[in-house]
Amino acid sequence: MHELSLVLFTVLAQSAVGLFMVLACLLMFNKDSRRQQVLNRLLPAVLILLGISAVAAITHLGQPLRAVNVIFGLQHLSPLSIEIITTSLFGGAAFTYLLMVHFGLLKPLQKLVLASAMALGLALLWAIANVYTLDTVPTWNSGWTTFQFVMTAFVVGIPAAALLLRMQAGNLGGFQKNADRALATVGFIVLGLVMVGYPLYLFWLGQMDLALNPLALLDYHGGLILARLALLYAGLGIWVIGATRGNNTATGLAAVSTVMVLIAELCGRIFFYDLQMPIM
Amino acid sequence: MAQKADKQLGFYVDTAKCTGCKTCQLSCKDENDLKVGVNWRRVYEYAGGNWVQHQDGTFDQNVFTYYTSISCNHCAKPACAQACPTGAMHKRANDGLVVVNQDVCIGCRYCEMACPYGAPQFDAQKKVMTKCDGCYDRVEAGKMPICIDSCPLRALDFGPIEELRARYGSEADIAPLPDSSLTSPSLVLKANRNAKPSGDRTGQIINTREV
Repeated sequence: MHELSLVLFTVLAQSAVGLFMVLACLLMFNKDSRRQQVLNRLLPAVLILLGISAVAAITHLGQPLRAVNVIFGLQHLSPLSIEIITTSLFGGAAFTYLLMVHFGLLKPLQKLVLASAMALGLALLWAIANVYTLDTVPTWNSGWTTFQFVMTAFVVGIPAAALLLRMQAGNLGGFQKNADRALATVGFIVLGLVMVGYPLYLFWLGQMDLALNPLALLDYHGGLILARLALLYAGLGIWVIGATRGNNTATGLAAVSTVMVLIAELCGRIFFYDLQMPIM
Repeated sequence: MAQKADKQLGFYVDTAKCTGCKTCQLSCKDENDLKVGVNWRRVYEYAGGNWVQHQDGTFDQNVFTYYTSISCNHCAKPACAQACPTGAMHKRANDGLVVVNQDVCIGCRYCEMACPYGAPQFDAQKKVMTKCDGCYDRVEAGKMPICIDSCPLRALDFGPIEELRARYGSEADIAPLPDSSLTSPSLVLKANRNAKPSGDRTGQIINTREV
């Protein structure tokens, strides 16, 4: 449990991307201008999440005042430089879009900026995974790292978006119900993916040829893994099951679900960082 | 970091001679005024073995241990410099030594994650990374790095890696060191008679709290 600032940064940044992707998709397909305004009002939540994650990332640095130096690393394509620059560009694009809609600037270009922000969000998910797929760290150097990081965006982003939409149910009407059902369908598929994926990941870890057993590094790992899986499956499950059965308005349920899944992802990420063990 | 060094300096470690006395580690600490917990040179004690049953039913043991003294291997493909987001961790063009510029380093510790040898280490007071610099000031003055000069077993050597390889061979894959194909370390090892290849699982590092 030695990289808590990075745990917070990666989980919140990925959650922010997930939430943003859902809201941006809805904005892309929506034609009604009043609904457009309601949806736009929800977007600052993404920037708040991203802001908290950025503060967490800065506290990780020994010399935070020199943070701009990361620009030099682009010269040799340092994965960390790419990640930090992509985070800034994603945040910048989302912020630019919000400014444009707030001041009503360049209306025809707004969707273009939103689309760029979506592309940058996807790039950010890749860039964070790219930082940790190091061939000198075998427990990280696999597609499972990318899988986990992308799944965080889905498992937190979907219930979080459902929560925000349910809070605006009065203003959105039938649109919210349809969106909630669509999200629940995606959430159902994601639940299936993580239910299969995470046990497979643990199997993969267990069969690695390493000097130390990665599943027995620290005493609390057994409990941590169990808590993570239980919170994830239960958290996502209660919301998905409720929503697919027609409960598309309960705000409290979506809130509990979001919090449970967020804690699950933090637990999972603590475990992930603990796996950074010396190769020798 | 991309440019190729004019000359590549490197280390030679004789694991047959090394007794694990750690004078190299201590002289390095003294010369570079390192804090507790920061070890630019580390001596890994690798040990293993078990009871072996012979055909006549008697038992014998094949317990072994040997030492590898490792600082920074000033790799040809340094994972730390590739990882570094600021370019503070760089490979010097004139001698191939991998050195951290502490005025540029932001202390993100990503080099520490990337290096398979544990060479870059965080200075909790200065809040930047530190590591073995090959004693380049001593080398420029025509002297050897302090670890080489202090070794009472004469188990260490330092110099242009081509010369070291011509003199001692090119072995670099001895446990507990990782496969040398990862970073191409500028390192030549002489195998102890008990030496196991990289990736060996019959032994383990037993002085984990020291290194």
